[in-house]
Amino acid sequence: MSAGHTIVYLMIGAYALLTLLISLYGFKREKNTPEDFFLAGRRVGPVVLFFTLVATNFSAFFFLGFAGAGYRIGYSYYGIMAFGTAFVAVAFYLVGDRVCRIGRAKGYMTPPELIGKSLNSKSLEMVYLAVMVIFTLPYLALQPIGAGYIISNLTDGEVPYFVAASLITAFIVLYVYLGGMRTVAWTDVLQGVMMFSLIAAALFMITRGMGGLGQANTQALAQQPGLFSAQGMDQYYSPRKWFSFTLIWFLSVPMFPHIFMRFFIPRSAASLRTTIAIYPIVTAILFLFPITIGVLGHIPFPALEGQQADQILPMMLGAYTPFWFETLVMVGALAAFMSTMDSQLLALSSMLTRDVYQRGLMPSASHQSQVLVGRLMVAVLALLGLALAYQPPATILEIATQAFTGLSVLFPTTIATLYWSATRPLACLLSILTGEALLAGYATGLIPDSLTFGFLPLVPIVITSTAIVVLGSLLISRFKPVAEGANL
Amino acid sequence: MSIKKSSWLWAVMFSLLFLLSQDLWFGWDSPLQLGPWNFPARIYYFVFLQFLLAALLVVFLSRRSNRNSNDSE
Repeated sequence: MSAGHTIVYLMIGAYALLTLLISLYGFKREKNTPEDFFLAGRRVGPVVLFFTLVATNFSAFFFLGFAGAGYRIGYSYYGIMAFGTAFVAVAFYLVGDRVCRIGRAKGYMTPPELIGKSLNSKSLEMVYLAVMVIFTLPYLALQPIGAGYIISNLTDGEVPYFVAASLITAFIVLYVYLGGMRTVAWTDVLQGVMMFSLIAAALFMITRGMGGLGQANTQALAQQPGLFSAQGMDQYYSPRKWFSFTLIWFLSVPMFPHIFMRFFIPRSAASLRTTIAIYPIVTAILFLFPITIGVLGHIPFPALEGQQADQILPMMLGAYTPFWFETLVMVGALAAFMSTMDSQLLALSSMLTRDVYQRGLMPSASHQSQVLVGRLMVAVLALLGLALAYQPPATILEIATQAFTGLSVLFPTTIATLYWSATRPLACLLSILTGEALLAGYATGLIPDSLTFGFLPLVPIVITSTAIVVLGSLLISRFKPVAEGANL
Repeated sequence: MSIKKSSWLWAVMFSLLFLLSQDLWFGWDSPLQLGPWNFPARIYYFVFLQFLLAALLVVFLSRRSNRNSNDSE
């Protein structure tokens, strides 16, 4: 083992030890009730809530995906990605504020439970659950994929990709198993601080090595003018595509179960509001770092393609920073993978335990048995995610886009349930099933691309889903009026 | 102002901000302009929009909080 590899193992070991200490502390404070294990007792304050929401949302994609997209598309990617993500704060208010209040008042613990019980429909609850699980599992697999790449690269293949992915997954299972949401939220603070500070330091170190940011940008512009254009490289964006991308995060991010679950955990609605107000400032600053690194990557590495482009961040660190710093930043990237994967595992486990085991199979299940099943479910889901990571698909960007569109279909149903007393479950069911059928049609080519009218498939799909919820509810209500106070 | 009317006003303001993000007046084919550190000027435009969004949210959320606390009183 070389001295370089010793540094890698020491840094990863130190980070793992710190995470483990936090999770042991969380374990000691755990009360062994579902509300405590899955929702940290609904007592999360604004600082921890901010970090857990941000660290959970900014995954492997933030490090490798953003830099890779910056390399492939250029600076125009910042416009749609940063503003699109910042605008999610508005969706966080629309969904989160009500979910926080209703969840606390009625004791709801999962998104399908809230939707199903609010509209008094078990079948809607199951369909909502199925969509969340189906589209989160592939996204869950992105995390070990990223972790595997990083450790394998850092050790020059001494630890093979899949062994690294398995080790990280096993470690995540261990600390989620120990402390549930409390541990996950607290480790998110550590992981969030590492992510933010290290990616900022990475840009500083890299551009210093390139003779300064201004000079590096001038060189990149001379080399590839497309990187600085409004449309991006190879005319990547059209106005309609741009509109679709700025909309996609707004509609889908709050629908990811690991994000949605966070609306149940604040100590008060005020905690959530503080987080919402800060969110756009974080995206404005933070997103510029990995995208800039990706753009400047054209200077030393001018012709990367496909999955190679997703490796631009470690390649740039390798070229311009000392090995110890490269390792440190990549440990920060590991933190990003872990903070998303632990939350995804816990969210899926919460839903399967509450909505399938407790409400479907064992209505009389004790608190202890629910927590036990939740813990076992974390391990089973981790194995599933790992199995998907075994043969990593084309590029990180493509898989993520599918998951985002699939979950966006739930948005009209969620908003209607939270805000409109005339919402009918049958209309919601039809809306979700039609939306997912349309997505399958576009993805398999059964529906021609021309029927997206130049937008991403997301736009016609969500318009159709919304129309079905609204028109369907109005139509059904004409024949069978809603009882007073039937919904929320 | 009624709750309904104020909600609609806020909805219009946030929608306008979203419309600004569609970058209609920079023009897709307009010549490139560079800002500090030779970033494209559009980057600064989008940074500005995000800070504007944060400011709007602060005002919106504090008004909502005040209204809720008045309601509970």
